[in-house]
Amino acid sequence: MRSVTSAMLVALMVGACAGAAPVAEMSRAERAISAAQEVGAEDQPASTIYLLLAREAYTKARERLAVGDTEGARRLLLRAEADAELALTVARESSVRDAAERTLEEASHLGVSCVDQGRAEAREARRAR
Amino acid sequence: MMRGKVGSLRRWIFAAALGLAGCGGAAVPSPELAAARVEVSRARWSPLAERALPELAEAEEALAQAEAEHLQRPGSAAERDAAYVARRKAERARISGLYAADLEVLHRARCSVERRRASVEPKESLPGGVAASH
Repeated sequence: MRSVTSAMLVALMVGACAGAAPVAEMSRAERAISAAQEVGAEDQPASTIYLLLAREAYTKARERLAVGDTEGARRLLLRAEADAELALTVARESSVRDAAERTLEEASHLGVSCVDQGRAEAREARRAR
Repeated sequence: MMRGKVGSLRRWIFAAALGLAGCGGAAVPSPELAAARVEVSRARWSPLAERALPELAEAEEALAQAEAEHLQRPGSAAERDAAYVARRKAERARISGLYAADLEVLHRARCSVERRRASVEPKESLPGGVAASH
């Protein structure tokens, strides 16, 4: 933990010499990665790849910062944020779709008449994918 | 008739623009920028696009930034990275539309299940069809 903090300090100092450190971008990328983790993006096959890409870009950004490449780091942080936001959205969509399918199944067992319409809408949404 | 003339004029303008771009030595977009253009277009014309307008606007803004990088520094890492971000934002816009549609299906299915249960349960809980007689 101490080494991470030191690395960050060095990165910030080097960044201060080479140009303004992308503090806001780093904070946004961190928040986006945390949010994706919180919704379980790691556990869903469709979203896990984007979370991995986000973490990888974030790690590379810190490496760029350590060698004073603030512009490269800033761009990598934007990539990390975009990947993490996509991971979050994919994970949410996946879990809502599963819940909708389960509820439609339950409705079907109860003999609810509008199930076919709901299924048709769900199919239509899939087609839009 | 008129529409045909306008369509023909558009085609000529498009062809002329392509020709001018060719003569002017316009830089070839990076594969990342080409992919971002396709993805943003896909999100824009998705049947669910109107359910994710803020996300779509973000994707279009990111694509505009990538196009600007392409004009200023064609083929640069800045262009490729900006295009990457635009592509991801376009994918997010498309999935956000799906999410909104799924959420609506889920909400309606839940309401139907609850209504059905509410109509069945009182009759089952009261013996001798008391509920039915009221």
